[in-house]
Amino acid sequence: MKKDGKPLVRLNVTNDAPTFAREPRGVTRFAEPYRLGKRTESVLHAMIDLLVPSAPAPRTPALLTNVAEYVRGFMAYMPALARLGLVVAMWLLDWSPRWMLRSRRKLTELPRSKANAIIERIGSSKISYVRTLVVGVRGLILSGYFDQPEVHEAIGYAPIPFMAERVDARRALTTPAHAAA
Amino acid sequence: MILAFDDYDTETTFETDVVVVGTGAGGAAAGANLAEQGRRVLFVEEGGYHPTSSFNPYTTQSVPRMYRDASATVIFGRTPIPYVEGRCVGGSTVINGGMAYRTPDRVLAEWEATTGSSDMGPRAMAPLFEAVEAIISARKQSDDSIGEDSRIMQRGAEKKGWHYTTNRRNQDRCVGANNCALGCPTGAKQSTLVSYMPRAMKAGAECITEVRVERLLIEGGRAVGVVGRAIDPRTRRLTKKITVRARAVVISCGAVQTPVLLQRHRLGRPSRQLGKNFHCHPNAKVLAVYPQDVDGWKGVSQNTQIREFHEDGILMAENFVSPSILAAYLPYHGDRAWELMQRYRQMVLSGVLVEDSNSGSVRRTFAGMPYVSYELTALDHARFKRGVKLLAGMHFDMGAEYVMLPFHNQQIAHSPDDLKRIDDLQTDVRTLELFTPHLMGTCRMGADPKTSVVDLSGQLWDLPGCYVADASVFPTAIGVNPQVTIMALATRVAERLQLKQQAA
Repeated sequence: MKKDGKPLVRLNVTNDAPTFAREPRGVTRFAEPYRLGKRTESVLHAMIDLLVPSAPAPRTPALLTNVAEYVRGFMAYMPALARLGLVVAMWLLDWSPRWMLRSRRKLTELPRSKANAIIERIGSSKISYVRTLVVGVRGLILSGYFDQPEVHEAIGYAPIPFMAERVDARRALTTPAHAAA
Repeated sequence: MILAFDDYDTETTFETDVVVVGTGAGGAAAGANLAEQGRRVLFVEEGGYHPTSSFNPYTTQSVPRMYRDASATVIFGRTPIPYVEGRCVGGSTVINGGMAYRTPDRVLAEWEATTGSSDMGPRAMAPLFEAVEAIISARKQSDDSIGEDSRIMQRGAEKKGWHYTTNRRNQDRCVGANNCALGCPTGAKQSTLVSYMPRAMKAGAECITEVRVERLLIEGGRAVGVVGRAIDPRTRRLTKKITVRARAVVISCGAVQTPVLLQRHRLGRPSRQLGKNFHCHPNAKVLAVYPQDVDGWKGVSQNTQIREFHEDGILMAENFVSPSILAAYLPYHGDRAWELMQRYRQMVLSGVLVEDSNSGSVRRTFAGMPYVSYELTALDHARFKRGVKLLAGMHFDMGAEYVMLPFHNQQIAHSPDDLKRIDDLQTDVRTLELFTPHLMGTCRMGADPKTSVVDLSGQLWDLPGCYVADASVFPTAIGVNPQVTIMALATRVAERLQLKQQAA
């Protein structure tokens, strides 16, 4: 039920779908977020800082930490080779100004506009596996960012009350009184 | 009873009549049928048991629990294609869109001709489809459950004069919560989690979860069980040893994992077809942004399929997803991504699905991981270009402001004129950005051991007692969403297995 102290979000309604007896009952246990080395962890945070939108989009330190935890949480479920590939991709991206002969500084040390231009260039490479460097890292980080409730609110997406209302609506449809009518 | 990691000892052995590996469309259907015929059935599921009450709209909490490898899975080729598979009780049926299509008659006729058996033909398959559709409640949506994105697609098709259908979906009083890809929170979608598995449990079947099967148990040239290890949910490490001894083994791990398991034992030798004939119905996303609020997340998505070009191998449909899933496929980051995502309420996400004309392969690598390879043909490429042009053009006709295209070198079209440049710019298949949830083939079913991996009862030609019941037995691609076909063939496998067991 817990993931680093955060409970699994439940819609707080009952429904009529069949459930089975089991032990332990209904408990969801998430894997510990994957542990990264100190330097890789700092690269991840720098990538998040670079790839998520700037203000006025939601961008609090707590939100960025949640995105990092999201990425590490996903990594715990990835096969070892995919996880290694993601780490290598982050490092290669960080060093991309050097191997692209654009700058002697790392990507995360460049001004934002210059770093963005490099990422866009890699992301539109003709070689699909070079593009994948950006696609994988960017996809995971932005997926984590747009999974945050503050971000949902900012884009007008309110799934919890909507789904809770839908669950109630279906329960009403499946009541014996409704079926008889 | 469903058991999980904490319930197992360091070494645990189970005994049963039939062990079924996997609880998705194939495994659950086969297992439920066998249990209802009086067999003791034990399901082995690699994922966890997540009941309907645990489903929510957060990717963070849904994808790691329910998707294999947190969806970090890719088909390799000149155009890498990300793919997804379910890994939980209910398998991919928990996370699919809920389409309930029968195999088209023309495909069944082809299967009948290639296998030389009328068992695979339309007439013989019809009763199986009827039985499956009754169990999963395949029916049309009620009008008030349909989302505005679906209505836009319908009106667009009508405006163009295109033939479209409203989908039959496996749902019972669906109210359009539109969380199909992350688990239906109302229990309306009749995934095997809420349809076949309860039937199996009621008939006495049991299920052990969080166990990865690593090899078959073979004695005297016959499959007599499986061996695996339990996965510690906190560390994801494979730890406790689990052995299941049974009179028959049914493998239902899907078109990627099933051949990888069988390749460990060097099976499929008579035909050398194991792992080959892989098909994947690749699809390309077309994202339209409208001036008005559409709120595609309210009301069921995937209600409409445009079938005007089906005979040419092209299907079109809408498929709205949560912002988190959508953002994973955006070609932008930072402020450009924010600018686009602020229009989330005005988006219609649609796709072009192509019936593949080529086949790929699945190989077991040194680490026991699958290596899936597949190449698009020039015909597939042409179909994608045509499909994207048609679909994006329809969105412009319906008033879209701009359309995001699935080409990395042509990401956006601001007007129909931009679509005219597709043929000039898209000369290389590597510019396509694709995705697929439909994986088929790799353990082809047939009547001849020289050309197929399993016989018409689903049993491996070279390993008695071992059956396959999932999408891997499809002789060819089917061109529609595969779950009903999988369930129908799995039902047949269960019937034939039961007959053989009775005879024995």
